Amino acid sequence: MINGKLIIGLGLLLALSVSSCKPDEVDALDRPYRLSLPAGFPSMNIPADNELTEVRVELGKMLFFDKALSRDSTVSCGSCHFQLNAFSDVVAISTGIEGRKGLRNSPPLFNLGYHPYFFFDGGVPTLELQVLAPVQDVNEMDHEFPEAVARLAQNQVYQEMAQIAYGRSFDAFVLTRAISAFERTLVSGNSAYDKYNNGSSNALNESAKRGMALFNSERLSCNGCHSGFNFTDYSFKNNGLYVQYPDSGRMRVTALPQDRDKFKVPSLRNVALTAPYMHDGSFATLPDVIEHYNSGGAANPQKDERIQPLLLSNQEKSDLLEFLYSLTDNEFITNPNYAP
Amino acid sequence: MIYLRLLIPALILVVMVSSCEKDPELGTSTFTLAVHPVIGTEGLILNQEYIDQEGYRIKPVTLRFYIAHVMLTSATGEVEIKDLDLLDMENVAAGEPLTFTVEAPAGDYTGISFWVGLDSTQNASDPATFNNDHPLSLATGTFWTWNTGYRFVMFEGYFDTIQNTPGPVSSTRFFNYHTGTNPLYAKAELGNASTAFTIAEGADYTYNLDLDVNKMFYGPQNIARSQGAVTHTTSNYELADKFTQNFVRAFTLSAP
Repeated sequence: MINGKLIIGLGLLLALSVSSCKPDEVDALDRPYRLSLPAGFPSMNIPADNELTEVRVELGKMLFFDKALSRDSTVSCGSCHFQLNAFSDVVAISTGIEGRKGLRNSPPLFNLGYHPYFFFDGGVPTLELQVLAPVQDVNEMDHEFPEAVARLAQNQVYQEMAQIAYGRSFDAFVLTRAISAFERTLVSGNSAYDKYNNGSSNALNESAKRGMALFNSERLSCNGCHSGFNFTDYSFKNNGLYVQYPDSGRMRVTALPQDRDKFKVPSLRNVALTAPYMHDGSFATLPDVIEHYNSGGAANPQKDERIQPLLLSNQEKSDLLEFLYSLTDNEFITNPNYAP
Repeated sequence: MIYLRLLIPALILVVMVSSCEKDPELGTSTFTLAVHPVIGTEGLILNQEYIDQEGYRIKPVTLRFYIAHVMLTSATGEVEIKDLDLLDMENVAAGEPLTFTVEAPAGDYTGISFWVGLDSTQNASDPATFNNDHPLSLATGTFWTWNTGYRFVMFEGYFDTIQNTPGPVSSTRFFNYHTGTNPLYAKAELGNASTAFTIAEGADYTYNLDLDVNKMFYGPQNIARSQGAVTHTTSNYELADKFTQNFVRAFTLSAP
């Protein structure tokens, strides 16, 4: 990724010439972004109107951390998504403008380009559309999107980068595309588990290996839902968190009774960094989560049949924990390309 | 001679210019659909208080809805004259109808039909791809950002839940009917042989409809005040469904 200051300088220097350029000439000022995918990761489907380029990604990063997105300019995307926490928040429910509390736990942000839909209820089908939600949500940024766009459009650097990146003035299209472009570059797949999987047999200690075997065992069936390279099948499940849920989950967007109290299965990558857990942040620690699954969960009629008492020994709990720790990608959370 | 030199190029120019002009569309007319929001026999103005047919006080503050695939119907079939529009009382002066004007083929027609809402393709649009003057843009405030798709109808305001109470209507009795989702895309059909009309070639024609708030509550479905004042469709699908059934039947031909 090219340096942000370099981009800004480039934009300023070329401001006058850009305004007279044709779209093809504008494109020549930008370069494709080289997305480096970890071994074993499938190729990422990227929308044709938002292929990754260096300026698009850089613009998206600047917008991601710009508090001007919120109505009172106090909250940015980065206010609730911290890189050191795999771009999740450290509290159960994040705080929006004026101290307002949202509905659900802020999810971590990585490998988003592989998700078929977004939010715990899966109500939004694309990363580009997802950008609209926190900006307009009354408990998050509470900003009418056209007003947010109008404010950001006054930023001359954004205008110039929009022209270079998308060949158009800064508008809602640019805002949604650029942030999505940056978010697609948040790729995490270099944990100890990944290194082990790629041939470094010493990357996992013996406890983590036992934990991995348990995780994938028929008895626990964790991998029944937390499957694939991203440790999720993206399905909607009830894991027996409550007998009665105050939040109807996926039913909130489908109105279908069969979707009541079901939530999107989260990825377990970097899970040691993303406490608190569950859609409402109701578990403070990973041992709490393991205890929940060990108990078999609450008697909710929608509970997935695989959620049953596990009768785990202390050693098994410890091994499972060790395996979950091995999913941490330290390179991801310290990558300077993702920092403001 | 010099005149001849000038005349020939001038004639050529005249021929060229005249051939560049687009021939006027034959057999068309300027057609305006005018929707008059009313409550019973009274014209509806936003932020004014009314008493509905059952004696409930009501003060609408927002009335905004999509119509799609507007068709003129005739004995021989249908012709689409408008694919999509957003009719919004906030965009017209108080007391003025909600309108759109298009070119339509002249002819004899028996009625008009349209859909309230957006078809599944329109409803899957990305609002960020449209300019602010487009009915599907973010500027309309109709897109649901927490769920995919658009609000087809937005009817908001205040009403009393007890009949015949003295005014003004309580500011705490907010009602909010937001309908959407593909299953609630519903068709309105108006007119028949007895209300046939003719659009004469080259003439302006206005087709007037009333949209009656009374019928939104007391139509095929009776929406009791106790049934809930708020639906974002998925939050109370039954109420949204009832409201939709009533809404498409709340349109009637205006009295001549």
